Amino acid sequence: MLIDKYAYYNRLLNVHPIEKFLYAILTLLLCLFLNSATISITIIILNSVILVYKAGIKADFYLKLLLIPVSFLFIGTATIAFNVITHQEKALLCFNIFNFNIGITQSSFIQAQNIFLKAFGSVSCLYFLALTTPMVDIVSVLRKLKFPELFLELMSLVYRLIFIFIKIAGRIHTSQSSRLGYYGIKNSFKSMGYLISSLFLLSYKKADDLYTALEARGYTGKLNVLEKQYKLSKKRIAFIMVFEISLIFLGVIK
Amino acid sequence: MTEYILETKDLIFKYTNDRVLNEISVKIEKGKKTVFLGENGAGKSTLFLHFNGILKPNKGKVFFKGEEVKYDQTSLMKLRKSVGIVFQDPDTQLFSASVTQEVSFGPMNLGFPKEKVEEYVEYALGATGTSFLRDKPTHFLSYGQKKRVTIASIIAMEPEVIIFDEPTNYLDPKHKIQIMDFLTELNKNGTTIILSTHDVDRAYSWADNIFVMKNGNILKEGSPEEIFADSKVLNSTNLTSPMILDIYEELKSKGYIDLQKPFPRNKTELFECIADNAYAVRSKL
Repeated sequence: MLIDKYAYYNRLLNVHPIEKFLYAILTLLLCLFLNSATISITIIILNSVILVYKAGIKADFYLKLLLIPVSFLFIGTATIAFNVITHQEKALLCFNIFNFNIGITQSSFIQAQNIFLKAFGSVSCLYFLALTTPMVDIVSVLRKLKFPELFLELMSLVYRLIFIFIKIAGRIHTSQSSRLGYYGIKNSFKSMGYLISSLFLLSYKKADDLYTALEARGYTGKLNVLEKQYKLSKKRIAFIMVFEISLIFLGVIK
Repeated sequence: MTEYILETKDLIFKYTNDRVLNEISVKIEKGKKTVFLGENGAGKSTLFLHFNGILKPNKGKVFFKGEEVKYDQTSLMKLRKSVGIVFQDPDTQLFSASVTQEVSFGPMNLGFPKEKVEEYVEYALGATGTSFLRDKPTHFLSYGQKKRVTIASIIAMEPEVIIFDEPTNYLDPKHKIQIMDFLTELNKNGTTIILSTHDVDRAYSWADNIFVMKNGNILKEGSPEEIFADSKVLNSTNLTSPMILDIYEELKSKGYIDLQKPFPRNKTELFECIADNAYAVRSKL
């Protein structure tokens, strides 16, 4: 998973995770609540510039990532844009299907466009966090924010186990295909069934083994670990604050 | 007097109804290198889990430093600080996505202050040659690297005994040698080492003491020479005799060996036996 790799090999890795978290979440909230196309576009552009130039994420990879949600967003917002139209003269576009006039009006178009940009802006904020901050750091920020310990431990264990899961699934898949397990549709369905059921059994066993290994090192119900130390930069925090406040101004003035 | 660090007495352990361990009584000498040999399913791993209190015997006792092991929280914590286990599959042992966090888990559980934990982590990473992996996520590591990180995570607790369940499995020859050399080094610094393996050559040249297990029983205990001289035990557990020993016996029967020398434990010693004999023969001519 390249997106996970970037989290560890980007040039913002040594920036304090709290700064990154603060930036991503505040910007995300403003993007959602200010509800303005200009602001959403500003946010998308700024995030892209930071990620590509500051964090060193390859532009073509980042573009591909951005394209993933686009198809969902199009489908989602299209349903908002198209409506049943009563006054045909107001419509920008109009079809007649089964005696219904279906089309886009100016207001529905603007609404769809706003929602599209808003969602896109929010996604870019989350990408910012995902591409610059390793999971371990996100968990440590949430711990500082006093999230429940159980939730955090589940989060870190699940994250670690996903990779083991993918690895095992890959191996089973390879061993099945080398015996023609995915030759034809019937075989494929059967093999997929076996794969899923053995994954369940294996993950149960893995979980058991993991617990034993934790116990052997004195686990008593809490995953105590050393957290990496970062330095907070006042300059960067000031920059983030100035940026967020100017976003608010922009949003309110309009 | 020899000092025994771990001891079991008539230990019985059952999974459901089958006895996995059948009245096992072993004594592990302090500061020595002990090897457990035996086929898969002989009960080695199950026995190991008794050594640091993960499993509780159905019957019989476990002793650490002459004291009977108790199974309350405080005693277990003390035992687990002193006896560490490195499991066979590093993927099941590594729970954290960060190498540093993984290694810090043990010492943090022991309740050390942060500075001390950092010191221990630093030491363990250095000793296993994994300092450069410090900030790497565990899922990007190679198998050999993961193995070394799991060892580091145990060393960080500074245990007196470290148990290795088949430590050289799946490793390439270079890393096998590295790991075994590292274990020798650890042992020289005073750590008692217990390990299980299927590699008879390595067991023969490395161990101070060997236990052979079969179907939950201890078949034989002794020095490598004693164990591998007993063809009955070897046959019943499907162990082969070490290559060095085979060559030695063959050459001895043909009269090419200087019998004054002790049994060779490794290649160098075997070569010495042959060379000395050749020298003696030549000087006679």
